[in-house]
Amino acid sequence: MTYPQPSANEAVVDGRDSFRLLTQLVSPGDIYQSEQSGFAFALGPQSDLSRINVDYFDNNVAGSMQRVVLGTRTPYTGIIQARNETTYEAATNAGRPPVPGHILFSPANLVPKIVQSASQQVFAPVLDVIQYLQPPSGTLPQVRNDKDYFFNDFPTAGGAYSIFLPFYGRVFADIRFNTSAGGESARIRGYNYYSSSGAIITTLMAATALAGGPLQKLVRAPVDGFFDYIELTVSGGTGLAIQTFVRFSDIPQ
Amino acid sequence: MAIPEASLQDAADNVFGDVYIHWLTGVFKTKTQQFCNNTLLELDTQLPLNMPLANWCAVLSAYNQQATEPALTRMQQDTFTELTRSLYRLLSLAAYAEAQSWITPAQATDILAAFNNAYA
Repeated sequence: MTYPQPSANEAVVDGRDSFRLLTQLVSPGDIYQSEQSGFAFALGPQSDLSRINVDYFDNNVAGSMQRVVLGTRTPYTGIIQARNETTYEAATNAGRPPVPGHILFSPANLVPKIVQSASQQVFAPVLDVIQYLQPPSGTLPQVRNDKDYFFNDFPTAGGAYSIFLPFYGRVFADIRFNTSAGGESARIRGYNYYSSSGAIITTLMAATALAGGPLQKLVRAPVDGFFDYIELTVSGGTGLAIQTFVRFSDIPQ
Repeated sequence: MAIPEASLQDAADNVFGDVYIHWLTGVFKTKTQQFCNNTLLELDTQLPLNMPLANWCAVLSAYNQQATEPALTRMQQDTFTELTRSLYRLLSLAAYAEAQSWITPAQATDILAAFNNAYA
């Protein structure tokens, strides 16, 4: 969470018709607030998260909080007011200044612990949400942009190296490793997290030697399933450079 | 996974296992409200760097209040899962806030104590 966080107030002062909250998460617990009301809310085109919680003040329910979950095909149209003058009821009984009724944004997807090491690199997901400060004039976004990655090398050094890429809600992946004469092998697995690091792991491509030509794997949700993260692992060999291309899409191919 | 946890990061990593027994025995809701109240005592909503954690307390408290947990029986499993995920998020952010000095070491210690005391 970058701090101070991007503020919707600036967008209002500038007379813009929308506020875009675009940030890479720094922890699984990132949460952002808006002190401005909105006419509609939608996932932004660069979001890695496929679902984002919008929590807001509603004194008709216990705890005075209500939630809308934005999804890739489920933007929300309807006024949600920031009730900065009031406070969330559930958090006012502790003898401290209460929590103001701002609009809150947080990941609805479970984000795992983001751990980097000599043998792995975990890409933190990007949160991208658009808050419309005036009634939207056109159709709200229904799908995210395709996400492309290009890696020039896996620093295997004879061992194994893994890259974890956020895949939340995507329905298609095209993953290609170039050929290698160094004796490396590549493996692809899908992760569905149930805790900070615990996951149900599905092998999408067993360890396969990188020799004799480019190696391609297509992942299709109706066949392979949905995953939170995709893991690419290259192991063994002499450490020759292995260029890798990855494309994730919301659109079935 | 055993309480007392030694750090906020350990608490976040192990929260799913640590609180499960309290769901089984139908006291998760009470203990979660206790944790929220005691955590909020440590936070000052006048300070911007305390606000993200205070916001999580508001979220967790609100949906915990909305959850139904009949005496000595379990709340619905998906409700428990969602509340536990909010706990995980709060503790993960608390660990990050401690590392970034958004909160003082004393605040971090007290939030960890609130977790250990509530879910012991």
